[in-house]
Amino acid sequence: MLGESFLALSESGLHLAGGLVGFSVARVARQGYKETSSPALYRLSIAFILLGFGLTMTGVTGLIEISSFGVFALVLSLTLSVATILETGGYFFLALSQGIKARSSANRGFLAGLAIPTASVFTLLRSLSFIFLLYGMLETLLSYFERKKRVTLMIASALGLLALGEFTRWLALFNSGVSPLLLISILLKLFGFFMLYTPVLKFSSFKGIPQFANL
Amino acid sequence: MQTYRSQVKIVVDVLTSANAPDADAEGVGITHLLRRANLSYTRLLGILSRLVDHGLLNETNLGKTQKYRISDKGLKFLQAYGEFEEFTESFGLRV
Repeated sequence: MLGESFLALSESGLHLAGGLVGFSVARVARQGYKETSSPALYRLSIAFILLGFGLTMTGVTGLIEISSFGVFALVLSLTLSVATILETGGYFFLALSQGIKARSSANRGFLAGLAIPTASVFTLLRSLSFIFLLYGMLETLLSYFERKKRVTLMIASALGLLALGEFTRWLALFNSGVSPLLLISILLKLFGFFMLYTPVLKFSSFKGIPQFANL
Repeated sequence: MQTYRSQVKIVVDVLTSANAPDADAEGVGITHLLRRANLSYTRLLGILSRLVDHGLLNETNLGKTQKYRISDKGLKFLQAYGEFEEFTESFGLRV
């Protein structure tokens, strides 16, 4: 019981940290969009705003769930569904950005569709997130092979870890009680979010420039 | 497949051309910018006028010709654009 609540608390903490990473990346992307009017940065900012809200809502819902012992079960369940939809939406926009870039740069062909398991809306959304993350990771990896930028490889690895984390989390949904898969999922996502934060680090002291969006 | 330059990328190309290391004290001429930025004459004139108005380029009149030199504000813009370009590329995307 202690192990279960500890894992639940860790997962909620991780989601809150993920939300913070999401909002941080969204802030830089939004600032970049305001300065350069780049559609890629626009899609990136939408993706990370959705991820930020989705992950934060999941984290807060998890914390309330732990402390209230199922008093607000229905409300929490609905909030969690909305949060998962937002999160999946964020991963979708991330995959969409990669998809648009892939189609405009070369005819590499769209990745083959993956089978979507149908158990419930929650598991469906989790599996969708996994597919979007996997697609984002593969496209980012292809970009790395084109430009050989180390930070791009880091982002591809981050998306890969998050995809693997989503997959193990999805597998853990089929096990009741404390599952080692849940712990693995938390650790994978923790490293994933940490690596995703890398490009934002150098922007922490960035004050911005006068806006020239209307040039 | 051909990729088109965005408006801001064209501005960046013009500013980078005006920041040529071989430019003299007054800057570079229209012919130099036309060749480097790969734009039509009328399009370039419009962009130059806006860049001068926004203080990104300094214009010097030399009788019948004009020369353009990047300003401090223009250099800051190029630097910031470079940083956002790097940020976008780290996600495997293009600005």
